[in-house]
Amino acid sequence: MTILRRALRDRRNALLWWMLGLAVLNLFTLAFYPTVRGQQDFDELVQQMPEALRAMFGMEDGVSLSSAPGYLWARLFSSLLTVLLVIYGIAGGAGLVGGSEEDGTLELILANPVSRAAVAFQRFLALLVLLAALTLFAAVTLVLMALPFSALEGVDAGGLGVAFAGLFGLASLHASVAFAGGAIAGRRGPGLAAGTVLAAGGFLAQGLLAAAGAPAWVRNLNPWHWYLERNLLAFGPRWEAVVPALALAALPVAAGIAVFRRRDLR
Amino acid sequence: MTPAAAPPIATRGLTKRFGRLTAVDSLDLAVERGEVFGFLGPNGAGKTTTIRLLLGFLNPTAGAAAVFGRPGADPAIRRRIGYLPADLALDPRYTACDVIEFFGALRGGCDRQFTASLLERFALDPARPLGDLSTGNRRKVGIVQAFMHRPDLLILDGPTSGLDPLLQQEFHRLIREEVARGATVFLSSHVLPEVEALASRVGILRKGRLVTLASIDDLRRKARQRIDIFTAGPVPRGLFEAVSGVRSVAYHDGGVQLVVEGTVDAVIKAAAALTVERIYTPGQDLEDLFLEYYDASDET
Repeated sequence: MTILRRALRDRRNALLWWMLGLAVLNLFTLAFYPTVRGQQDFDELVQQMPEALRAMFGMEDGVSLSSAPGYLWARLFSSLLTVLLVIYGIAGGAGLVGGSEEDGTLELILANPVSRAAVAFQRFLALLVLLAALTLFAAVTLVLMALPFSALEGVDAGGLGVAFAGLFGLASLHASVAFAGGAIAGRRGPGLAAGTVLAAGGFLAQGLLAAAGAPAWVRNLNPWHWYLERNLLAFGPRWEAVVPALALAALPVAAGIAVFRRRDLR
Repeated sequence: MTPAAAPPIATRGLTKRFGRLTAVDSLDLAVERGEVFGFLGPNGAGKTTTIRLLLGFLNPTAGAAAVFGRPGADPAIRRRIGYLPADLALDPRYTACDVIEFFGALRGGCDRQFTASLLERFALDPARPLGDLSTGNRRKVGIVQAFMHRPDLLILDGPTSGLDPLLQQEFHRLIREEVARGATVFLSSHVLPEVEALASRVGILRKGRLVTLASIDDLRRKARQRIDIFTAGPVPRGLFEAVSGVRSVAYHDGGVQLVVEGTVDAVIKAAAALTVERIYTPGQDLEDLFLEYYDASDET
C-alpha cells in the first residue's frame, strides 16, 4: 500500500483547497436561502419556464423552489456541487496513470519492485479515498452551516445522505472513465476528454431528453438521470441514485488496468 | 538454466520497431556476473530503448530480453536492479528524503547506513525539493536511489553527465566498490572516457545494431585519435606519411594534424626531430574515436 499512501500524501494540499472551495460554495448557497424562502412569485416564475430548462436546473413539479429541499436540490445537487465533484474526479482520474506517464514520473516508479497493475489500482483507490473525504466534508459543512439559516426544514434526512452518497458514486464513475482513458492512451488528454464527454453529455441529456419526451429506457441509459431523476431531499432515498453508478465504475477501471499492464510505456 | 546461474543480462534477437523505425535490431547480448559492461553509441542509437526493453517498460517486437533469467518486469527481479535514468523525472515537490523513503518502502527497505554515507559522499542536502535542485544535484539523487538498496545489477544510463569532474571521480569510485562487492554494471554512454575508465568489455550500438563487441583493450588498440602538433617552424612534407599507425596527415600553418590508429609511440618519436611547442589531442569523443566502426557499418 506504499503507492496508495504516497498518492494520498501527494494530493493532500490540493484536497485542502478543494475543501475550502466547496465550503465557500455551501456557505454562499445557504446564505441566499433566507431571501428565497416562501417566495410564491418565484414558483410562478419557474412555472412559466420551458420544461427542458426546469429539468436542467433540477426544478420539479410538486417541489417548491422556495422550500429547502427544492432550493438545495436545484442550487447544489443539480448544479455546481455535483459538477465540481465530477470535475475533481475527472481531473484526478486522468492524471493517475495518463498524466504521470505523460510528465515522465511514472517510469522511475515502475523501475521498483511493484507491478503496473498495483500502481494503477492503488492510485485509483487513493482517488476514491480523496473523493470520499471531499464528499463527506461537503456534507458535514452543509449540515452544520445550514443550522443558522434553517435551510434543512423539510429535507428528508435519509434522502440527504443518499444525495451525498450518489454524488460520490457519480463522481467515482467519471473518475474511473477518465482513469481508463488515461491508462489506455498513456496521456492525460484522452482521459480528460472521455470524462468530460460523459459529464457534459450526461448533464445536458438529462434535461433535454426529459423535455423532448424521450422514452424512459433511453433516459435510463444516462448515469446523470439515475441521480437527478427525482429530488432526493424531497422524496427520500432511492437506491438507483447510488448503486448503479458505483457498480459500473468498476468496469472502466478494470479495462484501463488490463490494457495498461500489457502495453508499451510511452 | 537455474535462476542462480542465469546471467545478469541476456538478450536474444531483441528487436523493437516503432512504426517504420527500427530502434533496436536483432540484439544479442550477454553480460556476465561481476563485470562492467560498457554500452556505447551515439545519441539515438537505441541505447535507452534497449534499457527500457530490459526493464520491461517496452515489449519487444521480436526476440527476448532476460534479467537474471527472468523478464525485467518481474517485481522479484526489479528488487535486484538499481536503475539510474538519463533524466531523473520525479515529482518536483519530492525531496531526496521523500524519494529514499518512497523507493525504500517499495523495495522492502534500503541499507540506511549505506544511504546516509551516499548522501554524505555526494554532499547532498536531502531536505530540498527536487524542483529546486541543479541538474548536478538531481543527478546525485538519481545515483543515491539507484545504489541505496545495494542491487546485484546496476543499469546506468549516461551516468556522469551533469556531474563535475570531482564528483565523477567519486562516482567512479562508488561503482568500483560495488563491483568489488560482486555487483554487475551495465553502463550506457555516448562518451568514451567514462566507459574507458570503468568497463572491461564494450558493445557499440549504431542505428540499433550491435556493430562491435570487444574488450576495452582491443578497442583501445584499434581506436583512432587525432593529434595536433604545433611546431616552431614548418613541418617538412613526408615526415609522418610513412610512420606506422598514421592514417591521415594534414598540414596547417602552425604544424600538422594527424589521425593515428593504435599506439602513438612511432609518431612521438618521429616528432622528436621537430621543435614541438604544443601537442593537442582534442575531444576524445566516441564519434571521432570510433569513426572506423561507423564507417565500416555504413558501407553495407
